Amino acid sequence: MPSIKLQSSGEEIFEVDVEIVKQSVTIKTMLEDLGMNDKGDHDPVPLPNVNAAILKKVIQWCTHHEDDPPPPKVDENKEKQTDNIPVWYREFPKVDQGTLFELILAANYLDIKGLLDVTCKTVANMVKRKTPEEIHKIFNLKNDFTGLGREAQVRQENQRCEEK
Amino acid sequence: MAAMETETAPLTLESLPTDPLLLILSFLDYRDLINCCYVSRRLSQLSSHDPLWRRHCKKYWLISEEEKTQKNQCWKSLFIDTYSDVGRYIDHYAAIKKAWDDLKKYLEPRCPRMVLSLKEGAREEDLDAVEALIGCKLPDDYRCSYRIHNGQKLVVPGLLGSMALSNHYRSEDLLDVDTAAGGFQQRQGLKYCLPLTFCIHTGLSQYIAVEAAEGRNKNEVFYQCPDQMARNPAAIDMFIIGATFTDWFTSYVKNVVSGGFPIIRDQIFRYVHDPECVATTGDITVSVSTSFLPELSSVHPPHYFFTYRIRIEMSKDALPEKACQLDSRYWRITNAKGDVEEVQGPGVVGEFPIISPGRVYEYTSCTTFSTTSGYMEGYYTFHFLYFKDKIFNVAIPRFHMACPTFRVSIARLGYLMTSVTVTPTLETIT
Repeated sequence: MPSIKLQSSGEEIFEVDVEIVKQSVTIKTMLEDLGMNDKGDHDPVPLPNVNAAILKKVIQWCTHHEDDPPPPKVDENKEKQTDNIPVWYREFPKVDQGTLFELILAANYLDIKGLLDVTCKTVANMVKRKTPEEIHKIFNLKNDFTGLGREAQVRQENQRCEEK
Repeated sequence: MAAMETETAPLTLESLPTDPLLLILSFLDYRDLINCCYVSRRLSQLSSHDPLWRRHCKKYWLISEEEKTQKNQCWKSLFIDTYSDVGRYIDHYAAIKKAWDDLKKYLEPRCPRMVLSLKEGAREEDLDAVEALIGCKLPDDYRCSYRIHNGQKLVVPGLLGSMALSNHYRSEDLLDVDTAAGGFQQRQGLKYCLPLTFCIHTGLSQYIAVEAAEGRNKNEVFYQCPDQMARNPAAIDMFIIGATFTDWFTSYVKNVVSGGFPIIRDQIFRYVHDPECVATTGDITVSVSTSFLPELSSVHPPHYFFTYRIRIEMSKDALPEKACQLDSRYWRITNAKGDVEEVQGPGVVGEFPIISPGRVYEYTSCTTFSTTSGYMEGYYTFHFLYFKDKIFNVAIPRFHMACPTFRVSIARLGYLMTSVTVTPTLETIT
């Protein structure tokens, strides 16, 4: 089967099936633009934005999802579910936050819609039904509303949305 | 596509590029989006990204693009404005508003008088005043509906449907909340029951139980059926029409707008038609729809009153010489116990209709059963108009009737602590 060589930021080379790798619209476009044939006899495709550990996981995901139907076209008004993540998916992003965010960045850069969806849904599920204080804690974020001005403004904008 | 720092500080939620962050926020419900506004400046800014709020405006408040343009507001501010007005009902609003919108759209061309009789929504203060008056809380979904429309002016025709027989006419109006409060029941047998509808001709009402009592579940909607034989006036059986106000209202609207309940001369008639209940003999098709009349029925003694409406029509492609006239009818009536009654007689409701190609004839009659369900079938005998000696039978399809689920009055059950609910089935007896 024809394969492609991918090179991570640390210059490690990964050899992957062309069909599997084409789930990344970025790589697919690169291949078409560079006129690369499928014979496998070419320079590796450089991905300076993705390190080896993450690239490995991305390839792992793509391998599992080669036969998935293309994701449905987004209907702005359709209900956005987050509870429809299949079991295998759920295990996959069970990684520390840092890795999860790196996967999001990689999926975003490589334009792999399915992977981007599942990783973002995972983060959304972590935010759901949490208070702002809990969100600060979970994601180790700082409340950067300097002075009382900005925060008070936010409070005023949203106070009519207080829980009834 | 943002470049990623692989050697610097670990990634945080904050440091993700805008596009993936917006994708994450797009999966959140409105409450979570608001909470994100308080987390940090960047999240606050992104959570207020207007397109994120379009989805919530449509989902919870059914606000359309046209309405938004008309009001000249952004989606987020529209969401918050509506929330500050009816946010209390956010769990019910979409279902009830949709029901009202569908109903009005369907009735405007067909029953304009009815739509004009709808009163403007009540204010929160008006509903609070009623709660103070009756000493009970009104269900949230009921309040939500009454914020949209405060019932009807007491006119014919009633929003909740009519029924007409030769000597009996009923039309149920949706009561406004103050009139309903005037009819709030405190007596034994109907404790904590608030009327939803009223018929000025028969005095019939559908009630909602605002508190659980006397074997009723909270929020049930029912017709009362006083026990004819009991000395205790508290012995009231109930035909259950809905488990909650929402259930009752939305299923009624569905029956109307789907064409399930026919509109006859600008009134809604609550006939139920089974699409498979049709029989064709030659060029003539007979179909039947039925309705249960609680105001003429009783559980004790068992007497279940049904009206049926029969439609006889001849295909417009039939040959002109097929024109015929109805001479007589034959009925075979079977109740749930298997008892059979046969009825024969000339004409139908005193008429001998002529059926010709394209002609439709409809008539209404009634029957009673001493069991909660039963069925009827039979045939008409016709003669051809131009060949008076040639007679033939036209089949009437078997049609079933069953009364709604009913609950037996606690007063009659006496020592039994739990109520008894009966749900009739349509099992045929062979």
